[in-house]
Amino acid sequence: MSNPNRTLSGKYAIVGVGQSDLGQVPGSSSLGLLNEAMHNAVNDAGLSKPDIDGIICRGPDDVYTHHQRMGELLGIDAQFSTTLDNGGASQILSIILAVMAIDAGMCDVVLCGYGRDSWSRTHRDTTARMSVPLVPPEQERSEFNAEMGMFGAVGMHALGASRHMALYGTSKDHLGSIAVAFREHALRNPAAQMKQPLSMEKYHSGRPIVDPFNMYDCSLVTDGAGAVVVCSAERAKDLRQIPVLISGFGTFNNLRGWYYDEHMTDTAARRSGGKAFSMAGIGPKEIDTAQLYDCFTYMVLTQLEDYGFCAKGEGGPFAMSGALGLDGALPSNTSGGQLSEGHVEGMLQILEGIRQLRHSYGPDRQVSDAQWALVSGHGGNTVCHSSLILQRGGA
Amino acid sequence: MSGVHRPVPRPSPETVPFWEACQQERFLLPRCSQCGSFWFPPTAFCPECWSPNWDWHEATGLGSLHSFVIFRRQYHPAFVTPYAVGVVHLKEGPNILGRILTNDFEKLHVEMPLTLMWDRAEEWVIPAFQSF
Ligand SMILES: [Zn+2]
Repeated sequence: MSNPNRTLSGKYAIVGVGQSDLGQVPGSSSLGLLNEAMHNAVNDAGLSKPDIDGIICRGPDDVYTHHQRMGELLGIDAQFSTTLDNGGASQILSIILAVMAIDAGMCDVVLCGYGRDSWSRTHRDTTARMSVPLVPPEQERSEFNAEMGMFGAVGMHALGASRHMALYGTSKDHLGSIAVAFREHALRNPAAQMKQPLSMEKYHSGRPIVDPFNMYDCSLVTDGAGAVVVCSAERAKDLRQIPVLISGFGTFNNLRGWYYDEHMTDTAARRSGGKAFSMAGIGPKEIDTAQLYDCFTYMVLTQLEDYGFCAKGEGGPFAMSGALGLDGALPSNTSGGQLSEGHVEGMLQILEGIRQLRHSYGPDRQVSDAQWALVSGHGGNTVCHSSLILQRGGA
Repeated sequence: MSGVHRPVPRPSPETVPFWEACQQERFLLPRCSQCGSFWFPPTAFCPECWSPNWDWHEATGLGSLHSFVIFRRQYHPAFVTPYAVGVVHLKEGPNILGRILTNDFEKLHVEMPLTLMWDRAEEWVIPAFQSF
């Protein structure tokens, strides 16, 4: 197993973050939301359009050559630009690729981002909720899937939860404790989609979706976009914000599939995270806050184990202990996550990790003296994983 | 349910013989002539040793339940909920997706023994599984 080059650790930084309006944004478009987020990220960095010479993004699945459309909207000819195809793992991968491109001399300042009008496109009229798929039919598997009654990411991830429950005694209470913890974070975030408290009792009464998941185990349908600006740590010293250093990253993709071997319960997060920790020169104990890809409650539970925050099989009890709360052992998804803030395929988790390390918040939301953050991305056909370890830079 | 059609497979060139055998209620898996491994879904080369030399082998249809879920929300009008879908660890080695045909969901458990049965949809015969 190879590990990322340690000499790159801390050599590059995230210097700007931006997001669009979030939640239910009637009349929005995927490209328009991302355009707004990218403008905000560049402004946040104290940079301007001529500084940007790279664009890496992942578009809605139905827009061809997405980065070209973004460059057109932004009015930028790029030295380096491309669109990624690793699902929810793409957003961290775009930052990794930005570092690689800058280090190779391809470009200097890269805009990375993702946006989607997922709520608007599924709520255009009363029938759209059932009839408008989030993944275009021609991109779905053509066989060994729908004819067997398998539909959507929820069924795939529920298979993982079901096997984990059988192997390790994981319970619905364990899954629920994750949904409840993230809802508590969301209630402190004015931008979050979910505004109502979630008790364990209310969790258990949630509308069933695909056993063992009910509606509260599933992430939200959101209009929204997020973007970041990446450049060298050297250049970051002269910019407006406290730099957040890119200390470690890693990827691993279990391409043989979710059904293969033990991929459902021993996810690609383990080897992706191992690379990131190796590059950063730290371990799970040093992490002050984790922002984990929470498309479903179960993915948080297995990632807690796969990243080594607890032993395999202990993710449920670890979450139940209160570890994920703001004063817990590992404050996680402190903006409410995709389960309660909004689902922008991991982009908001990257922004929250950065904001925590900038110490952007008042005491009600701030992870006390946060120096290190872990952010994860997971997706594709449930098998791609990317990890990012961020460190608060010098003042 | 007249007018409501079940989703049916859209085979690739590599999987046409598999589906044709299903029509005759024969469950075929590709088996590598070089390394002996079975795999699924069917492809042109053995994914273990990359050999192009393999043949179709009639499988036992026996396996155990790797994992399962029960669909409660209706995603397709032809799939009336609740119904169970599982990943089955076949005796020959591969893990494959299939419906688990039962109404007694309480009896489903990971590692339970299963056997193949046939699920007829539109003009298709689709592998499914039941308790063994
Ligand atoms: Zn072989």
